[in-house]
Amino acid sequence: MVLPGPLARLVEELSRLPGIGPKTAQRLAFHIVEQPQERVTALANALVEAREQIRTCSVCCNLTDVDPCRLCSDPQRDDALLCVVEGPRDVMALERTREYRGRYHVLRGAISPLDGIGPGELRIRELLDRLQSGEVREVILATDPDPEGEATAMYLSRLLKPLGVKVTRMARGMPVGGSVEYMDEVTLAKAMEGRREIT
Amino acid sequence: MIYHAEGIVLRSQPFGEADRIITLLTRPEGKVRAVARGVRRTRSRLMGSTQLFTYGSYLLVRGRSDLETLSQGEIRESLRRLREDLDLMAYASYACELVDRMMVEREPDEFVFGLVLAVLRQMEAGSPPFGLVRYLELALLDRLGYRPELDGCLRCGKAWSPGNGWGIDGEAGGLICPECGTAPTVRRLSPGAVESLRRMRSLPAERAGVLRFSAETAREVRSALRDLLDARIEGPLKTRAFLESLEAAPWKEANHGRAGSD
Repeated sequence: MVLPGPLARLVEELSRLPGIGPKTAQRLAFHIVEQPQERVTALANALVEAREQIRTCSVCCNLTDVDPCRLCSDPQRDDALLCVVEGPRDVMALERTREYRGRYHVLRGAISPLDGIGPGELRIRELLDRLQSGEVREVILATDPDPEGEATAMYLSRLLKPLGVKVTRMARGMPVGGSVEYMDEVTLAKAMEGRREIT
Repeated sequence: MIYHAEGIVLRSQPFGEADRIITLLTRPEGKVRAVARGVRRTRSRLMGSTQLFTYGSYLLVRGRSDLETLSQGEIRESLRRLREDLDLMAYASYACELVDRMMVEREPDEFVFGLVLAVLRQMEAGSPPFGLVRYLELALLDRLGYRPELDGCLRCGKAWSPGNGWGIDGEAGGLICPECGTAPTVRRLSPGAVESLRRMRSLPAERAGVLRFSAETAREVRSALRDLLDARIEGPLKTRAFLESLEAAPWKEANHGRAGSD
């Protein structure tokens, strides 16, 4: 069956989204055209508004609708702590813990030589600018514990240490609820290395 | 078909919501690409064995697609230093990209497997990575049918004897004597650089870690091999740019006597 023009166009646009194959795109498109008009208008508006209003925070480089973003302008937070993460979703994950009350810096990626992503592609310049003021006492490197995240952390620690700021790396080891028996040897080694005295 | 294979993880790319596609250089099946499902979830048993540069034993399933499915994996040697040191990570990434780009999928090559493993192991053990990747470059060219002529002049056949004025022509693939070396594609080499290249060829892979060069020779050897490789590989190697950016990094005042990165 040949799809009517507008429907075919919708399918094509949807299938450009990550993780959406042609079959899923078709299913979504048929679903959309059977929805009430106002639903679809609301979806379309949400798409356009999100795209138009979301930009990069000029301080932390996170995505935001107000500049500086809410986390950067919150007077309750500790200016002396700066947590460096790879992406906006990492900020959300850390915020869910409600443990951390410092500021963030979002690199918007990680060093990945095999993908051609070097330090120049990340928001490192902005990070250095933020450290100029001398207010930050500790930079917490919270990039992923995978090769790309580790490379990024190593690069940043070499870059930041000479500036006289304390640089720490988030702990690596056993996940809560895991079992020693099933842990891979690299994680276990890391967990042993980073063991702590029980207080 | 289900098969066991020893393999080295050359590349690992996120795929879909929680999967990864890993490129493995295996001993029995050559280079294969496999989907590791669910490997980005915290509790995946496949996570450890699919880390970049890992040497492990894998259980793979081949279906009709050109992607295998990774069913089980066990670490033989984690080679973790290669991921925990920035310079080593850059060199090991370069080595893996080179192998990935030069090897054809599903063409087993016992020699290349041993070569790559020997190079990564010595890098892990602390041998100078610069010499190891140079060795790998020449050994891959030799093995894959592009063996550069290093015994004499490509044009007139005159045998190599240490002297000035010799050069290398990357496009043509070998040495050019002073009399024939007029083309602009010929890069002049010092006698020491030519001897270094020839010595590299005479070493077995397990001994490649002993390679050390003076700063000047290192630069020449690197350029000569780059000319030879660029004529055989299409498009730029992504990891080269990273090695270069490390070299230009602000904390690198001195070069520690090496010619530095690529």
